Amino acid sequence: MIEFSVVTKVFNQGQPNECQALREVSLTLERGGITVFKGPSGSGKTTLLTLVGCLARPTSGRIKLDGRLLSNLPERFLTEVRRHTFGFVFQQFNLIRGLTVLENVMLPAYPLGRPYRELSDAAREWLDRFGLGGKIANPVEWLSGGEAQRTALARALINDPAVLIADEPTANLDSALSREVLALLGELAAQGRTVLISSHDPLVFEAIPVNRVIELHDGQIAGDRRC
Amino acid sequence: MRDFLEQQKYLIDYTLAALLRRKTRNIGLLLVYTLLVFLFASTLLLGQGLRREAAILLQDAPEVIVQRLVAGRHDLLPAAWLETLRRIRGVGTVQGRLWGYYYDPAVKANYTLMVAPERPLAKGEIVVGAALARVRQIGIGDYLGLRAANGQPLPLKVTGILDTASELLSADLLLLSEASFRALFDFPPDVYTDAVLTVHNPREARTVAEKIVLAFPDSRPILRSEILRTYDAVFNWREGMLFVVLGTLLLTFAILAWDKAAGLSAEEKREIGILKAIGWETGDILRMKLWDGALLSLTAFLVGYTLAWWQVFHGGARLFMPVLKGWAVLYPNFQLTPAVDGQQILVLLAVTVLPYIVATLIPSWRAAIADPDAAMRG
Repeated sequence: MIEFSVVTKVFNQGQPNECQALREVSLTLERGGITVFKGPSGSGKTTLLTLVGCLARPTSGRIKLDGRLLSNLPERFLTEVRRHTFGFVFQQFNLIRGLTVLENVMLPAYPLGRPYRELSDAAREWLDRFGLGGKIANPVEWLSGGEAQRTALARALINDPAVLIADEPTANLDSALSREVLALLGELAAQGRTVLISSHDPLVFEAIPVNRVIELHDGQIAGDRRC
Repeated sequence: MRDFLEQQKYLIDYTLAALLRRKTRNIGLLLVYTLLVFLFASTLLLGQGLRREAAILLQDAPEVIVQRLVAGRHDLLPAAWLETLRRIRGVGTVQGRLWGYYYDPAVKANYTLMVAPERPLAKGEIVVGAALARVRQIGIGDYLGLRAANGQPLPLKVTGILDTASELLSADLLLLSEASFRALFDFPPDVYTDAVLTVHNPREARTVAEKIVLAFPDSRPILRSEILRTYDAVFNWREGMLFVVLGTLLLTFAILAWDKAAGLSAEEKREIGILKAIGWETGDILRMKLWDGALLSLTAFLVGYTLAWWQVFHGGARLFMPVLKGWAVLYPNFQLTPAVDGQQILVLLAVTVLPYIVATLIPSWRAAIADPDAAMRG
């Protein structure tokens, strides 16, 4: 369970370009199911997901994961939580160019020092499952948008995280590819993972069984609907 | 432990892939770096090799050389001094030496002329150093004409060429008989250029020198250790001059390395952000960058040092020999004894590898401690 208590996030604090991305947000996210954060650009969706996923710290307020306070953890422990609890799928895919599909998927597990055979087998398994078995040796630059997004998805799952965070996963895909990726997210949620998606794409609500929709506006929660 | 080794393997794999991704830039950097290490190592190895060579050769040199000074300048030494020197307590053998320089305008070089008692020669016969023979294109049986002090030509017949193994000392050497030497320079029969002494106990050489000065206040005894020190000073000075030049190169490289490292490209910063976002911690990024710096700089170091070692000890050190070896026209042609000095390697590592690794690590650390959320924003 993830709890936000009066969380505020300010970028460039004290500078002329100061920007308050989240304003005193309080919410609780339960384990399991699909939660979608919707809202216009600049509403604070991505910021909220970065805070959930320990990619940034709140300026004020408290964030707890299963009752454990995250907002004051040292960087090392925060990485530990990030590594084992969260998997990320980025809007721009953020695959590392020059590496193969397989290497990109294995990358999050490198610091763990898992035996190569075990790690590469796990990566191959995810890639096979996402229909990329024939492309494991290709450099990621050769992939289409849909393939790149599925590779990013496999990478997010390599450390077997409980929570999958997908930031605008369909933003760079056409409708067919979007449906394909959303179907995979739906499958993962059905297997018991918590899936958090930020999106303003209406297709998301059509394609998968969303459990909860949280609407953001100007850094504040403007609506919270359970489906 | 196994996890740690596996982790390092992954980090090396990733680093190699990252280095290959920026192939052109890294190969360029590697070449410049290797060249720099090569130049530095060549200078150090050559300077040290020459000093060692000189020390080995001077081991057999006499413990004390006695010169006579007049108005602070070297003057001819009266033969009568030899007997007095022999009577000084602690002195073993005493021998008067005849030697001097001869400028040959034909090749614009100075020869060192010497009478060698251990190699008796008849009047008119000479034995020459290999470099001299090369430059004058003469061999055994040929004649070499020198102009005597009275202006008359003095033809001298070459009866031998000195062994190339001793070329450091004998390159420009011309051995001749006492009679020919005195005729050439118009030396009176009762003088020598200087005298060489052996002492029974080498540790008493300084005491013997003091006694010589007491016996002959216008004498100047020179100890072997002083000659060694002079050689050292000369090589150090020459090495220093080279280091000034190389220092400029080092500075240029430092700027280049700093620019490479400090100016992490937007792509590299983004990559660090992605790695952090997908579960790498700052320490992992730094370890990866450490491998990055170490792989590049150690490769450059190993290649540069090996090339330098090869060119100094097996390639004749052609690059720096003219600067470090001397001012002569007749450069000796000899091989230095191969040697590896651990302390020297450490010094080289400290001035070439360490700064590069630090220059690589600092900016990466700065990028790695930032929150990775920028990666999320694309």
